[in-house]
Amino acid sequence: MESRVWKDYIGKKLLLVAMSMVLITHGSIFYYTLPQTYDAYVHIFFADHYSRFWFEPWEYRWYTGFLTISYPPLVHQMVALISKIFPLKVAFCIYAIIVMEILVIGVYRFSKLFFDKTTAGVAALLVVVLSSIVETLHVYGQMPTLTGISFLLNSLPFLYQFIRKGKPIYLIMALSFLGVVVSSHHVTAIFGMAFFIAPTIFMALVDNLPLEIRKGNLIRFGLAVMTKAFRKFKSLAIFGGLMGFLAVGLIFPYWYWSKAYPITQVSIPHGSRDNFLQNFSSGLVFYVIPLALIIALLPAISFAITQKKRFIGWAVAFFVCLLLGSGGTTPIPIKVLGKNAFNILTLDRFGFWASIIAIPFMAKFIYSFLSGPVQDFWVKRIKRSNHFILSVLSGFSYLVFLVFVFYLARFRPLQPKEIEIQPILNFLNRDEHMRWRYLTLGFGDQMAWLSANSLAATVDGNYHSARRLPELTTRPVERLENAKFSGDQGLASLRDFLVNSEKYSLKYVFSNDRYYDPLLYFSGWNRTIRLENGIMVWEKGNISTIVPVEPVKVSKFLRYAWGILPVGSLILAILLTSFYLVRIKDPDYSESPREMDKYYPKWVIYLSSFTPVLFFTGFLLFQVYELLLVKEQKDPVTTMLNYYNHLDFQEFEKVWHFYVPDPTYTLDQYLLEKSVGDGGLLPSYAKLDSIGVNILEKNKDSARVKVFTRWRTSLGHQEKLDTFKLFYLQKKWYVQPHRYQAEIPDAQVRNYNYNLFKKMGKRVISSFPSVKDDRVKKPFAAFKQINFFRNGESNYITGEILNSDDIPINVAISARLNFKNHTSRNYYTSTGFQYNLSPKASSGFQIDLDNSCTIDSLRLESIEIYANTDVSERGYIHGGITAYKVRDLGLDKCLVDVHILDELTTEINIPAILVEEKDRKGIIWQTKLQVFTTAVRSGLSLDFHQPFQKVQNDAHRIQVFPIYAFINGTSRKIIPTVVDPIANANDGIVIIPNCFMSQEIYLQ
Amino acid sequence: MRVFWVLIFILIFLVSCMKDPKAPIWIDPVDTLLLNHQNLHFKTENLDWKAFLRTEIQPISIPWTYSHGILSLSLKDISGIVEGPADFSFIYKDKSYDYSFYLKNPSGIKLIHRDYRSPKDLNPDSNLEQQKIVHQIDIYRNLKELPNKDSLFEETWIQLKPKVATYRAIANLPLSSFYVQAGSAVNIPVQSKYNPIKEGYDIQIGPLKDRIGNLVSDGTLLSLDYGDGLFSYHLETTILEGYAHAFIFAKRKNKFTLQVKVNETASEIIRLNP
Repeated sequence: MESRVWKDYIGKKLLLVAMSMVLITHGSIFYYTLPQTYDAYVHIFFADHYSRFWFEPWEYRWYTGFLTISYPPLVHQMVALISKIFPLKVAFCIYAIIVMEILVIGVYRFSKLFFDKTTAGVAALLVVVLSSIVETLHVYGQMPTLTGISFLLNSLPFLYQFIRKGKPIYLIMALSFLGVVVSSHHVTAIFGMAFFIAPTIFMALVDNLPLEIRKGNLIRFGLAVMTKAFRKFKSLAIFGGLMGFLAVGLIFPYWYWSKAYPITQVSIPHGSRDNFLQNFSSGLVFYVIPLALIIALLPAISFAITQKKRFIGWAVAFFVCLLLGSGGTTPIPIKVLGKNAFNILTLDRFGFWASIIAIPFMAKFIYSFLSGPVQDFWVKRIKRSNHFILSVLSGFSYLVFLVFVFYLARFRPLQPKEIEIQPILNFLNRDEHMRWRYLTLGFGDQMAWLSANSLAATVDGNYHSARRLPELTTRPVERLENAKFSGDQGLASLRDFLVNSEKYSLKYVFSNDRYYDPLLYFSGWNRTIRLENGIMVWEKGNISTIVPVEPVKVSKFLRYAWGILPVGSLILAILLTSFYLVRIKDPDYSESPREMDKYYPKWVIYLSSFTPVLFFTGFLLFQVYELLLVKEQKDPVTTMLNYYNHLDFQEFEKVWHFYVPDPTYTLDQYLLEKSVGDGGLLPSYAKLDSIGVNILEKNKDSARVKVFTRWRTSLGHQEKLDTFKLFYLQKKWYVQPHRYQAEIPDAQVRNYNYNLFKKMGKRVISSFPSVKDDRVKKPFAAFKQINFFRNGESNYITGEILNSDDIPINVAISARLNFKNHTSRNYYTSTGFQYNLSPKASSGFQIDLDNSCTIDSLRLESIEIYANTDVSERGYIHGGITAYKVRDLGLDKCLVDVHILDELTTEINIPAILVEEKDRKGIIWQTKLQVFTTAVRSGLSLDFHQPFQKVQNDAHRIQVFPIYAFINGTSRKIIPTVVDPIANANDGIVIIPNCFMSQEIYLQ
Repeated sequence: MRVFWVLIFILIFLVSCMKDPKAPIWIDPVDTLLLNHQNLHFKTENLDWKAFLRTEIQPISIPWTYSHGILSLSLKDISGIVEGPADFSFIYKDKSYDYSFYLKNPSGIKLIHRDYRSPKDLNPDSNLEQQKIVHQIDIYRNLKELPNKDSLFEETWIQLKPKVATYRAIANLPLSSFYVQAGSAVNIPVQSKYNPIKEGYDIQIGPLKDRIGNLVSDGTLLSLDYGDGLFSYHLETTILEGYAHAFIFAKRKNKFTLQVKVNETASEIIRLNP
């Protein structure tokens, strides 16, 4: 009895220590790790929504509007309430600390179901340092998951006592906590029923059995449990019924939403579903790191959890969770969960739950190892001092590992560097910029932080389940802002939005990644200003302001239920807990047997005592090796792979170290040669997609390799083939640098006359809407031709437009196809068009339409072409002198030899041409953009050859449908087409320069 | 408990017995009220009225004094207003009494002449006819009849001179500016000279004028298409003050044929020969 009192006292002390440590460690760090987390800003955005519109579930700022009833609201509403006093970020941190404290208490109480209070105290301490919890908080920022598990664990002892003792108060307490779980995280509630609630009920039923049956054979035991369950049927049915009622009732609007608007989108790939043996980095982040301690102590956990019949439920739950958490490593999870659930769920949460189940068993072994039977075992064999050293080594290696987890987001950045959002907010607030939508590129989850701080709307968003725009749901794209990480599908989705921007009133792009610059420029976007925080603002002209979207109506009852019930459930749980603590609390849960203080078997002791120190030390050594000691130049293939890897990440000093050491080839010389010879689409606006190295010849000290690289750019893939010579010196392979022959222009200084324009704002300084007099005019333009073509399954419109005004203009062209069923579809120009035109300049254009099958099935009636113009200040200078020669290759193919001379005072970063194919009458049959990968320096020239496929013999010009032309909303006649002698002299090919110059944004 | 119910009953009784305030009586009513000239008097009980002048566009709070059962409203501080139907509103708690009249500004308010032109941008390529609409407003934006006319607006169509310039419909008001711009170039004079030092041809294009003789606009794009029989070259330059200059490299003393174009207007084909 005395021993038990002492153990209880120690347990409570450990609990208090654990709670204090949470405050000191997580509490002080979280504010700084929050910006790098994966999810925190999304939840902050939701919190901001509730802070502004508590009873209004329609959130218009993402995806042209979505319903917030698509996610349980309690966490967001609580942060919203705290944010009425503190800033949003601080409010989120305060909430996180409170939840972590509740989790510590939950784990303590949960562990008491299994072992004594001292062990439960050790379990509480484990919460502070368990890598799965640390990762969930500091790397993922998944507050709803943590809230859900915290309250779920707190509910289990009540449920256990209700099943054992049958007192209604325990049922009420359990349900009050489970209500909070449902209100905060539905997934935890659903899977918690299987992995936590069912084992608890099973354990309570077992503990109600007499000792002899518990120790009897398995069949008799099974029958006894079933009999007990049958006897407790009423209690179980009441609990099940009320739990079901709570699960449905508390977040009924959520169930209503999921029924009314089911998720039909294409699955978004997630690393937790990878085969971890094939994709080791995913395995590391989603399995090894969160489950590190579980893996290290797996023998002890497995032994303890399978030793007693009352733990059977927990053993099943633990191993199933462990298996499901292994993602696509085995085919079992997809078969257990079904393909649909497998592709929607992030499976790392199963590993997280496994780690929570394992906490009491880990605590048991650790406690035993430090001051129990396992300690005695070691002291007898290796003396106390050696046991102490083993303990210190294990503990220290784990703590160093934990520090690594804390800084995981730094070692393997999930997010771009923190962006100061104030300049963006200022931009959105001025000149009515909020009347249009915006898009961020390269912001990571900080796009949600920007949204939380502004009332402006974006077409993107960061809550995948709620989106319904077909451009997003039909492709496996996480977000538009990180489209480059979603491969071709991501960029196709982004291209849709950038080209069809009028459809979404998308006028501004805030770019934090120049990777997207080529796509933006060639899709008709212009750079406007670089903000103080380095973010480049791109703007598209002639975009209509946002047309208000009719919000999806949610009944008043549901809106109020959503606003009141979840928070009400938490308030009720707090009140009931206070009442329980004051009036009812038992000194102990039950008379549940707490034996098993025996020795672990030897193999378990050996394995579980040495695995942690070996595992964590090995892991850290591996990381150190990967970071510092890996032999990057051990053979020619590895050398080339690492050479390109550093080149891709622009680590030029590391690249230089791969070159054959030579006193005449210094780092300075390399960078100098690079600065004058490199640039352009590759590698400045590209990411290495794949690489293949082929050894052409190799001997003892030299080798020649051919390297095939495939680069991903925002304009599509580019491929390159290079040959390198390598030498083996001082046990390393070195690359022979390519001999660089600098092209040196004649002139010492270049000059060029630019005619620059400045649009003079005439708006009267007033908050009243502008009037006719203070608006700048819509410039004049004229269509020179419009043609409709069909080439097999593809349909498109070509034409030519003239800037007939005296000022540079920005033009937006769209086609509306009217069908016989009185419907219409809009299409927009893509990259085959010069969007900015000098006075009297003209450009061909091409608008790609739907395929023949679609257009024929809808039965086309007429075509309307709209051009809207705006005064442009830049973008009308398209490049230097362009010379070309066309060589006929037969079979409608030709080769265009192009020579571009950069006569401007700035580098042409992406030389590009617009190729128009014309017939003898001057009719344009197609317009295509051709880009080239190498930059051209000022005063220098560049030659390249571009194959071009003609279509005149395959395509058909369709003239049966009337074509109407409109300029700035007014019907206009199309100027008669004239013969183009230059095209006729060049085999029907005309090219005009359409280059991108990144440096001088006053030009473009 | 009984006392409580009695008190509740008394309270309900008292509330139900409270009378609405009597409507103020306008002692000197008028149909048309001139601002700044008249004070208004109402006979009423001395209550804590709120008095508003409700015009077409905004309510204005009016100060008042109360003496011997007469409530006097002063409009002295209101200098001018958008004229039209207006009301006086007296509000006491949730009761409101309105008195309608026509509100006018006092005479002698400064008038502003307005002259709208459409279109604002013209050029000799199409026509130079412009619509002119004249009207007057006072400084409070009330439309006023034109002097010596029996109308509020006067519309005329005027033929502008073809001289390129920025004009103002109203002197000293940049917002009323309209613009006569240059038309398209009617011919393109081109001169070339081989420059042996720079090893190329200096090309001078201009002066480019429209059909009226105005210099075409600065920034107009000129396309120089030239070839040597092997390659077709495309060079773009822009016009500044009627002229443009270009340089064509000819390091090997190449011979070219050159044609300069502005939209569909083309120069004669020039042969470049060192």
